[in-house]
Amino acid sequence: MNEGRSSLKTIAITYAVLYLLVVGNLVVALAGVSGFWALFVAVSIAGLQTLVVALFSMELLRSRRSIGVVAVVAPLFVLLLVCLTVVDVYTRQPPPLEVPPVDRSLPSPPP
Amino acid sequence: MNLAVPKLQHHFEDLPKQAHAARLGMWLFLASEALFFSGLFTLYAAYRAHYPEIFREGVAHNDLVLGTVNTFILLTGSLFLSLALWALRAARRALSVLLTAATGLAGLVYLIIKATEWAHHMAEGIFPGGRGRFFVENPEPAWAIFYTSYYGLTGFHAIHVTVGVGILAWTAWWMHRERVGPAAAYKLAIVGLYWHFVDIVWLFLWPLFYLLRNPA
Repeated sequence: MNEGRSSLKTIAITYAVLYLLVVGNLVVALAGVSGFWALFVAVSIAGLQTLVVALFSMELLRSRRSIGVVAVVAPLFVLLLVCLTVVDVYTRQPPPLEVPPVDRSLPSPPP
Repeated sequence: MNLAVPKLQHHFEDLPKQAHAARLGMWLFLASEALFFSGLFTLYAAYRAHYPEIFREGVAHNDLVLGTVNTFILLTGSLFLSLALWALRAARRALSVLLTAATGLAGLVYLIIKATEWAHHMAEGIFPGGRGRFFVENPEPAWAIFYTSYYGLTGFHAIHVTVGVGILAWTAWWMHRERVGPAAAYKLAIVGLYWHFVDIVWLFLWPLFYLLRNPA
């Protein structure tokens, strides 16, 4: 089996989609979408871009299965780490990330 | 001796298996890199969940234009590299050298813009670790956390871009010297894997540090 070998047409379509997704992400931000939905849309678009880059630019679609296993397992571990940590931070009482105020004022001049 | 044809190492049966092993090795390396960056992204996510308002203000304080220009530059660099690989496989070595060098140049432009952005921040008194006059005027600790995660994530990403630029320059030189030909195109493909990964990391950094700025 030949690994890789994207055609010019595939490359053109891949990057047209990627540029469109960048513009889409920018338009959503400039449209004033905020809060949870802004985060959801932005991260979803970035995830979609990752999928396109991995499948076509990194030629995962035409790679052997052993590479596919690595490419699937690694993001799952990443997702697990991010989700569990954020859930922990959201739900633990008392909040774990309270940072005590630091005195950053400049030292007073000597009398 | 034709250097453009890779030497078959004794522990591989044939060249396709050798090329596959090299690609698998790079994918495993990238998996470890993904875990490294995920730690930093988790830090950002946890603190953003805890201090949403100051993180939003911090994002609004960053330069959206420079961040967006850098996104297009990195994406264009990736396009050049995909075309370079296509050209090398089609035995158009000169074009491939040119496109690989153009990718490295895109990385260099990205670094210059990023350095300009950091210089603007430092002129405002924003230094890593919450040092500088900005944090005297804004004593809320979340500001220091936001900018430290900003410098940390974009800094480690910039280190990866710098390494990528070096590898691209080296690969372009090797191709120019006819040490990498169509039969060894997998070597350029491996460089491409690294560069596309660096691109992916930025595709997440861009919204997190430049786009998510609208008040709830």
